[in-house]
Amino acid sequence: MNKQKALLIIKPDGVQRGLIGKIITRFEQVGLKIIGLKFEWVTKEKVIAHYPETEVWFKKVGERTLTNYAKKGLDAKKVFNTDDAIQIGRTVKKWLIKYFQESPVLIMALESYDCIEIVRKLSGNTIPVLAHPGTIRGDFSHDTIDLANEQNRPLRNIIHASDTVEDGEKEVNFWFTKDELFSYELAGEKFMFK
Amino acid sequence: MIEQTLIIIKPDAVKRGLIGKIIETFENVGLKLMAAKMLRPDKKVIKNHYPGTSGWIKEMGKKTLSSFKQSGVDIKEKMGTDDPVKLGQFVYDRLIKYWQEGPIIVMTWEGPDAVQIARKLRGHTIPLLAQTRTLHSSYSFDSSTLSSSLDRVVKTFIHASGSVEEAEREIEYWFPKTEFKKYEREVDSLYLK
Repeated sequence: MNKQKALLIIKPDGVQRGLIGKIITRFEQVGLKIIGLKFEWVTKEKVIAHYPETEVWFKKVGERTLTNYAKKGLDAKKVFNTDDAIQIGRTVKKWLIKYFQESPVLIMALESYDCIEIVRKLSGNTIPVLAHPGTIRGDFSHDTIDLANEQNRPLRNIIHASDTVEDGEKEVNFWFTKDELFSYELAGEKFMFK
Repeated sequence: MIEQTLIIIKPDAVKRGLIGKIIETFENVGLKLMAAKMLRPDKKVIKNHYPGTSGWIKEMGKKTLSSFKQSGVDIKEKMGTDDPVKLGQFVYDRLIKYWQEGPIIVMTWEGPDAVQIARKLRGHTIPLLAQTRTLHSSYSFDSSTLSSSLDRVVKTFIHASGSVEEAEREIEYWFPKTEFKKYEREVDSLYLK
Protein backbone atom coordinates (compact mmCIF):
# COMPACT_ATOMS: atom_id res chain seq x y z
CA MET A 1 0.00 0.00 0.00
CA ASN A 2 1.25 3.45 -0.89
CA LYS A 3 1.36 6.41 1.41
CA GLN A 4 -0.89 9.37 0.69
CA LYS A 5 -0.63 13.05 1.43
CA ALA A 6 -3.33 15.33 2.76
CA LEU A 7 -3.47 19.06 3.18
CA LEU A 8 -4.92 20.44 6.35
CA ILE A 9 -5.56 24.10 7.03
CA ILE A 10 -6.57 25.44 10.42
CA LYS A 11 -8.76 28.35 9.43
CA PRO A 12 -9.07 31.70 11.26
CA ASP A 13 -11.80 30.57 13.67
CA GLY A 14 -9.55 27.72 14.86
CA VAL A 15 -6.57 30.04 15.15
CA GLN A 16 -8.42 32.88 16.88
CA ARG A 17 -10.07 30.55 19.37
CA GLY A 18 -6.70 29.08 20.37
CA LEU A 19 -7.28 25.58 19.01
CA ILE A 20 -4.11 25.07 16.95
CA GLY A 21 -2.29 22.82 19.41
CA LYS A 22 -5.33 20.70 20.21
CA ILE A 23 -6.06 20.14 16.53
CA ILE A 24 -2.47 19.23 15.65
CA THR A 25 -2.40 16.72 18.52
CA ARG A 26 -5.43 14.92 17.09
CA PHE A 27 -3.46 14.09 13.97
CA GLU A 28 -0.17 13.39 15.72
CA GLN A 29 -1.62 10.90 18.19
CA VAL A 30 -3.07 8.74 15.41
CA GLY A 31 0.41 8.45 13.98
CA LEU A 32 0.07 10.73 10.98
CA LYS A 33 3.32 12.40 10.03
CA ILE A 34 3.54 16.17 9.67
CA ILE A 35 5.87 16.54 6.70
CA GLY A 36 5.33 20.26 6.21
CA LEU A 37 4.02 23.07 8.38
CA LYS A 38 3.72 26.83 8.16
CA PHE A 39 1.69 29.55 9.78
CA GLU A 40 1.16 32.64 7.70
CA TRP A 41 -1.24 35.13 6.17
CA VAL A 42 -2.42 33.90 2.81
CA THR A 43 -3.03 36.16 -0.15
CA LYS A 44 -6.37 36.53 -1.85
CA GLU A 45 -4.89 35.09 -5.05
CA LYS A 46 -3.73 32.00 -3.22
CA VAL A 47 -7.17 31.32 -1.74
CA ILE A 48 -8.84 31.90 -5.11
CA ALA A 49 -6.51 29.37 -6.68
CA HIS A 50 -6.91 26.90 -3.81
CA TYR A 51 -10.59 26.38 -4.56
CA PRO A 52 -11.27 25.31 -8.14
CA GLU A 53 -12.40 28.24 -10.29
CA THR A 54 -14.64 25.98 -12.37
CA GLU A 55 -18.34 25.86 -13.11
CA VAL A 56 -18.33 22.27 -11.85
CA TRP A 57 -17.10 23.38 -8.44
CA PHE A 58 -19.45 26.38 -8.22
CA LYS A 59 -22.32 24.13 -9.21
CA LYS A 60 -21.40 21.48 -6.66
CA VAL A 61 -21.21 24.01 -3.83
CA GLY A 62 -24.34 25.81 -4.99
CA GLU A 63 -26.36 22.62 -5.29
CA ARG A 64 -25.24 21.52 -1.83
CA THR A 65 -26.48 24.82 -0.45
CA LEU A 66 -29.78 24.56 -2.36
CA THR A 67 -30.35 21.01 -1.10
CA ASN A 68 -29.79 22.14 2.46
CA TYR A 69 -32.23 24.99 2.01
CA ALA A 70 -34.85 22.73 0.52
CA LYS A 71 -34.48 20.31 3.43
CA LYS A 72 -35.15 23.09 5.89
CA GLY A 73 -37.97 24.58 3.80
CA LEU A 74 -36.07 27.86 3.41
CA ASP A 75 -35.94 30.14 0.40
CA ALA A 76 -32.44 30.43 -1.08
CA LYS A 77 -33.54 33.36 -3.23
CA LYS A 78 -33.91 35.50 -0.13
CA VAL A 79 -30.25 35.12 0.78
CA PHE A 80 -28.58 34.91 -2.62
CA ASN A 81 -31.07 36.82 -4.79
CA THR A 82 -30.95 33.84 -7.12
CA ASP A 83 -31.61 30.14 -7.13
CA ASP A 84 -29.00 29.44 -9.76
CA ALA A 85 -26.54 26.95 -8.27
CA ILE A 86 -23.51 28.40 -10.08
CA GLN A 87 -24.26 31.94 -8.89
CA ILE A 88 -24.71 30.69 -5.34
CA GLY A 89 -21.41 28.80 -5.61
CA ARG A 90 -19.68 32.03 -6.65
CA THR A 91 -21.06 33.88 -3.65
CA VAL A 92 -19.94 31.12 -1.28
CA LYS A 93 -16.45 31.35 -2.74
CA LYS A 94 -16.34 35.10 -2.12
CA TRP A 95 -17.22 34.45 1.51
CA LEU A 96 -14.48 31.84 1.75
CA ILE A 97 -11.86 34.23 0.41
CA LYS A 98 -12.78 36.76 3.09
CA TYR A 99 -12.85 34.10 5.78
CA PHE A 100 -9.32 32.93 4.98
CA GLN A 101 -7.96 36.44 5.41
CA GLU A 102 -9.26 37.17 8.90
CA SER A 103 -6.06 35.92 10.55
CA PRO A 104 -3.01 33.87 9.63
CA VAL A 105 -3.79 30.20 9.03
CA LEU A 106 -1.87 27.06 9.90
CA ILE A 107 -1.10 24.97 6.84
CA MET A 108 0.02 21.39 7.30
CA ALA A 109 1.00 18.57 4.98
CA LEU A 110 0.22 15.16 6.48
CA GLU A 111 1.44 11.80 5.29
CA SER A 112 0.45 8.23 6.08
CA TYR A 113 -1.18 5.10 4.69
CA ASP A 114 -4.85 5.91 3.94
CA CYS A 115 -4.10 9.48 4.91
CA ILE A 116 -7.11 11.05 3.17
CA GLU A 117 -9.65 8.74 4.75
CA ILE A 118 -8.12 9.11 8.22
CA VAL A 119 -7.92 12.89 8.01
CA ARG A 120 -11.52 13.13 6.87
CA LYS A 121 -12.64 10.76 9.61
CA LEU A 122 -10.89 12.81 12.29
CA SER A 123 -12.18 16.07 10.82
CA GLY A 124 -15.85 15.05 10.73
CA ASN A 125 -18.71 16.31 8.58
CA THR A 126 -17.88 19.66 6.96
CA ILE A 127 -21.06 21.04 8.52
CA PRO A 128 -20.11 21.23 12.20
CA VAL A 129 -23.65 20.69 13.51
CA LEU A 130 -23.72 17.34 11.71
CA ALA A 131 -20.21 16.28 12.74
CA HIS A 132 -20.02 13.52 15.31
CA PRO A 133 -18.57 14.00 18.77
CA GLY A 134 -14.96 12.89 18.76
CA THR A 135 -14.30 14.61 15.45
CA ILE A 136 -12.59 17.98 15.32
CA ARG A 137 -15.58 19.80 13.86
CA GLY A 138 -18.01 17.96 16.13
CA ASP A 139 -16.02 18.72 19.25
CA PHE A 140 -15.12 22.33 18.58
CA SER A 141 -18.02 23.84 16.67
CA HIS A 142 -21.76 23.67 16.05
CA ASP A 143 -22.15 26.04 13.12
CA THR A 144 -24.89 25.42 10.57
CA ILE A 145 -25.36 26.38 6.92
CA ASP A 146 -28.65 28.16 7.64
CA LEU A 147 -27.08 30.36 10.25
CA ALA A 148 -24.08 31.12 8.06
CA ASN A 149 -26.28 32.06 5.14
CA GLU A 150 -28.57 34.12 7.32
CA GLN A 151 -25.56 36.09 8.51
CA ASN A 152 -24.08 36.38 5.03
CA ARG A 153 -20.87 34.60 5.93
CA PRO A 154 -19.14 31.34 5.18
CA LEU A 155 -19.71 28.27 7.27
CA ARG A 156 -17.05 28.40 10.00
CA ASN A 157 -15.88 24.84 10.16
CA ILE A 158 -12.40 25.30 11.68
CA ILE A 159 -10.42 23.25 9.21
CA HIS A 160 -10.00 22.47 5.58
CA ALA A 161 -9.02 18.90 4.75
CA SER A 162 -8.28 17.42 1.34
CA ASP A 163 -11.22 15.55 -0.16
CA THR A 164 -9.65 12.92 -2.36
CA VAL A 165 -6.26 11.30 -2.96
CA GLU A 166 -5.79 13.46 -6.07
CA ASP A 167 -6.76 16.64 -4.22
CA GLY A 168 -4.39 15.76 -1.39
CA GLU A 169 -1.45 15.47 -3.73
CA LYS A 170 -2.45 18.59 -5.65
CA GLU A 171 -3.11 20.75 -2.61
CA VAL A 172 0.08 19.78 -0.81
CA ASN A 173 2.08 20.69 -3.91
CA PHE A 174 0.13 23.92 -4.26
CA TRP A 175 0.86 25.14 -0.74
CA PHE A 176 4.34 23.71 -0.25
CA THR A 177 7.44 23.82 -2.38
CA LYS A 178 9.57 20.68 -2.52
CA ASP A 179 12.09 22.05 -0.03
CA GLU A 180 9.35 22.79 2.47
CA LEU A 181 8.45 19.10 2.72
CA PHE A 182 10.50 16.71 4.84
CA SER A 183 11.02 13.02 5.13
CA TYR A 184 11.84 11.56 8.54
CA GLU A 185 10.86 8.70 10.81
CA LEU A 186 8.50 9.15 13.74
CA ALA A 187 9.65 7.62 17.01
CA GLY A 188 6.58 5.39 17.20
CA GLU A 189 6.60 4.32 13.57
CA LYS A 190 8.58 1.13 13.99
CA PHE A 191 6.17 -0.08 16.64
CA MET A 192 3.15 0.60 14.46
CA PHE A 193 4.13 -0.71 11.09
CA LYS A 194 6.71 -3.43 11.52
CA MET B 1 4.85 45.26 27.69
CA ILE B 2 3.88 43.22 24.65
CA GLU B 3 6.90 41.18 23.66
CA GLN B 4 7.76 38.66 21.00
CA THR B 5 9.78 35.54 21.62
CA LEU B 6 11.26 32.81 19.48
CA ILE B 7 10.41 29.19 20.21
CA ILE B 8 11.94 26.23 18.41
CA ILE B 9 10.66 22.67 18.60
CA LYS B 10 13.67 20.45 18.02
CA PRO B 11 13.87 17.14 16.11
CA ASP B 12 13.21 14.71 18.99
CA ALA B 13 9.99 16.50 19.95
CA VAL B 14 8.83 16.52 16.31
CA LYS B 15 9.52 12.79 16.02
CA ARG B 16 7.65 12.05 19.22
CA GLY B 17 4.54 13.85 18.00
CA LEU B 18 4.72 16.60 20.59
CA ILE B 19 4.18 19.55 18.24
CA GLY B 20 0.52 19.95 19.14
CA LYS B 21 1.05 19.62 22.89
CA ILE B 22 3.86 22.17 22.88
CA ILE B 23 1.89 24.66 20.81
CA GLU B 24 -1.12 24.10 23.06
CA THR B 25 0.94 24.93 26.14
CA PHE B 26 1.84 28.36 24.81
CA GLU B 27 -1.62 28.87 23.30
CA ASN B 28 -3.39 28.09 26.58
CA VAL B 29 -1.78 30.94 28.51
CA GLY B 30 -2.99 33.28 25.83
CA LEU B 31 0.19 33.86 23.84
CA LYS B 32 -0.44 34.48 20.17
CA LEU B 33 1.28 32.59 17.37
CA MET B 34 2.61 35.10 14.85
CA ALA B 35 4.60 32.87 12.51
CA ALA B 36 5.73 29.27 12.22
CA LYS B 37 7.55 27.07 9.76
CA MET B 38 8.97 23.58 9.61
CA LEU B 39 12.47 23.44 8.22
CA ARG B 40 15.67 21.45 8.17
CA PRO B 41 18.46 24.01 8.39
CA ASP B 42 21.98 23.15 7.39
CA LYS B 43 24.94 23.23 9.73
CA LYS B 44 25.85 26.84 9.06
CA VAL B 45 22.35 28.14 9.72
CA ILE B 46 22.18 26.31 13.04
CA LYS B 47 25.65 27.47 14.00
CA ASN B 48 24.72 31.12 13.48
CA HIS B 49 21.60 30.83 15.59
CA TYR B 50 24.00 31.01 18.54
CA PRO B 51 26.21 34.00 19.26
CA GLY B 52 29.24 31.74 18.69
CA THR B 53 31.74 34.27 20.07
CA SER B 54 34.80 33.02 21.93
CA GLY B 55 33.34 34.40 25.17
CA TRP B 56 30.09 32.56 24.56
CA ILE B 57 31.92 29.32 23.76
CA LYS B 58 33.98 29.61 26.93
CA GLU B 59 30.83 30.30 28.96
CA MET B 60 29.23 27.16 27.57
CA GLY B 61 32.37 25.21 28.50
CA LYS B 62 32.17 26.58 32.03
CA LYS B 63 28.54 25.53 32.31
CA THR B 64 29.52 22.05 31.20
CA LEU B 65 32.30 21.96 33.79
CA SER B 66 29.94 22.90 36.56
CA SER B 67 27.25 20.43 35.59
CA PHE B 68 29.88 17.67 35.52
CA LYS B 69 31.06 18.75 38.93
CA GLN B 70 27.50 18.59 40.23
CA SER B 71 26.96 15.09 38.95
CA GLY B 72 30.33 13.95 40.27
CA VAL B 73 31.67 12.74 36.93
CA ASP B 74 35.36 13.26 36.17
CA ILE B 75 35.31 15.54 33.16
CA LYS B 76 38.89 14.89 32.13
CA GLU B 77 38.27 11.19 31.99
CA LYS B 78 35.03 11.59 30.09
CA MET B 79 35.86 14.43 27.69
CA GLY B 80 39.63 14.29 27.63
CA THR B 81 39.98 17.90 28.80
CA ASP B 82 38.87 20.37 31.42
CA ASP B 83 39.66 23.45 29.36
CA PRO B 84 36.43 25.47 29.13
CA VAL B 85 37.20 26.72 25.61
CA LYS B 86 37.82 23.22 24.26
CA LEU B 87 34.79 21.89 26.12
CA GLY B 88 32.64 24.72 24.82
CA GLN B 89 33.66 24.04 21.22
CA PHE B 90 33.01 20.35 21.73
CA VAL B 91 29.52 20.97 23.08
CA TYR B 92 28.83 23.47 20.28
CA ASP B 93 29.63 20.82 17.64
CA ARG B 94 27.47 18.23 19.33
CA LEU B 95 24.65 20.73 19.68
CA ILE B 96 24.65 21.31 15.94
CA LYS B 97 24.59 17.57 15.40
CA TYR B 98 21.54 17.29 17.66
CA TRP B 99 19.67 19.97 15.70
CA GLN B 100 20.29 18.01 12.52
CA GLU B 101 18.54 14.84 13.65
CA GLY B 102 15.37 15.83 11.80
CA PRO B 103 13.15 18.76 10.86
CA ILE B 104 12.48 21.47 13.43
CA ILE B 105 9.68 23.99 13.88
CA VAL B 106 10.56 27.64 14.37
CA MET B 107 7.89 29.96 15.76
CA THR B 108 7.35 33.55 16.85
CA TRP B 109 4.94 34.06 19.73
CA GLU B 110 3.60 37.33 21.06
CA GLY B 111 2.04 38.54 24.29
CA PRO B 112 2.62 40.41 27.54
CA ASP B 113 5.93 39.22 29.05
CA ALA B 114 6.12 36.61 26.29
CA VAL B 115 9.84 35.96 26.83
CA GLN B 116 9.57 35.25 30.53
CA ILE B 117 6.33 33.29 30.21
CA ALA B 118 7.73 31.04 27.50
CA ARG B 119 10.87 30.34 29.55
CA LYS B 120 8.76 29.55 32.60
CA LEU B 121 6.54 27.13 30.69
CA ARG B 122 9.54 25.44 29.16
CA GLY B 123 11.40 25.03 32.46
CA HIS B 124 15.10 24.56 33.26
CA THR B 125 17.31 23.80 30.28
CA ILE B 126 18.22 20.42 31.70
CA PRO B 127 15.00 18.40 31.84
CA LEU B 128 16.01 16.53 35.01
CA LEU B 129 16.30 19.84 36.83
CA ALA B 130 13.14 21.40 35.40
CA GLN B 131 10.25 22.14 37.70
CA THR B 132 7.32 19.74 37.64
CA ARG B 133 4.71 20.48 34.97
CA THR B 134 7.05 22.51 32.80
CA LEU B 135 7.46 21.15 29.27
CA HIS B 136 11.03 20.00 29.86
CA SER B 137 10.08 18.08 32.97
CA SER B 138 6.84 16.69 31.56
CA TYR B 139 8.30 15.20 28.41
CA SER B 140 11.89 14.21 29.18
CA PHE B 141 14.17 12.47 31.65
CA ASP B 142 17.35 13.69 30.02
CA SER B 143 20.31 14.88 32.11
CA SER B 144 23.95 15.89 31.75
CA THR B 145 25.14 12.58 33.16
CA LEU B 146 23.00 10.56 30.79
CA SER B 147 23.84 12.64 27.74
CA SER B 148 27.59 12.69 28.35
CA SER B 149 27.63 8.94 28.89
CA LEU B 150 26.15 8.64 25.40
CA ASP B 151 28.45 11.22 23.82
CA ARG B 152 25.75 13.71 23.00
CA VAL B 153 24.36 16.97 24.33
CA VAL B 154 21.36 17.18 26.62
CA LYS B 155 18.34 17.14 24.36
CA THR B 156 16.76 20.42 25.29
CA PHE B 157 13.89 19.88 22.90
CA ILE B 158 12.48 23.40 23.18
CA HIS B 159 14.43 26.55 22.58
CA ALA B 160 12.94 29.74 24.03
CA SER B 161 14.67 33.12 23.79
CA GLY B 162 16.43 34.13 27.01
CA SER B 163 15.80 37.86 26.91
CA VAL B 164 13.97 40.49 24.92
CA GLU B 165 17.21 41.42 23.12
CA GLU B 166 17.98 37.79 22.33
CA ALA B 167 14.42 37.34 21.05
CA GLU B 168 14.78 40.32 18.73
CA ARG B 169 17.99 38.98 17.29
CA GLU B 170 16.67 35.44 16.91
CA ILE B 171 13.36 36.48 15.34
CA GLU B 172 15.19 38.62 12.80
CA TYR B 173 17.50 35.67 12.14
CA TRP B 174 14.81 33.06 11.53
CA PHE B 175 12.15 35.36 10.07
CA PRO B 176 14.18 38.07 8.35
CA LYS B 177 12.36 41.28 7.45
CA THR B 178 9.03 39.77 8.38
CA GLU B 179 6.12 42.02 9.16
CA PHE B 180 3.99 40.34 11.80
CA LYS B 181 0.53 41.62 10.99
CA LYS B 182 -1.83 41.94 13.96
CA TYR B 183 -4.87 39.75 14.44
CA GLU B 184 -7.26 39.21 17.30
CA ARG B 185 -7.52 36.19 19.56
CA GLU B 186 -10.39 35.27 21.86
CA VAL B 187 -8.50 36.31 25.00
CA ASP B 188 -7.52 39.74 23.70
CA SER B 189 -10.77 41.53 24.52
CA LEU B 190 -10.70 40.14 28.06
CA TYR B 191 -7.11 40.95 29.00
CA LEU B 192 -5.63 43.38 26.54
CA LYS B 193 -8.36 45.99 26.40
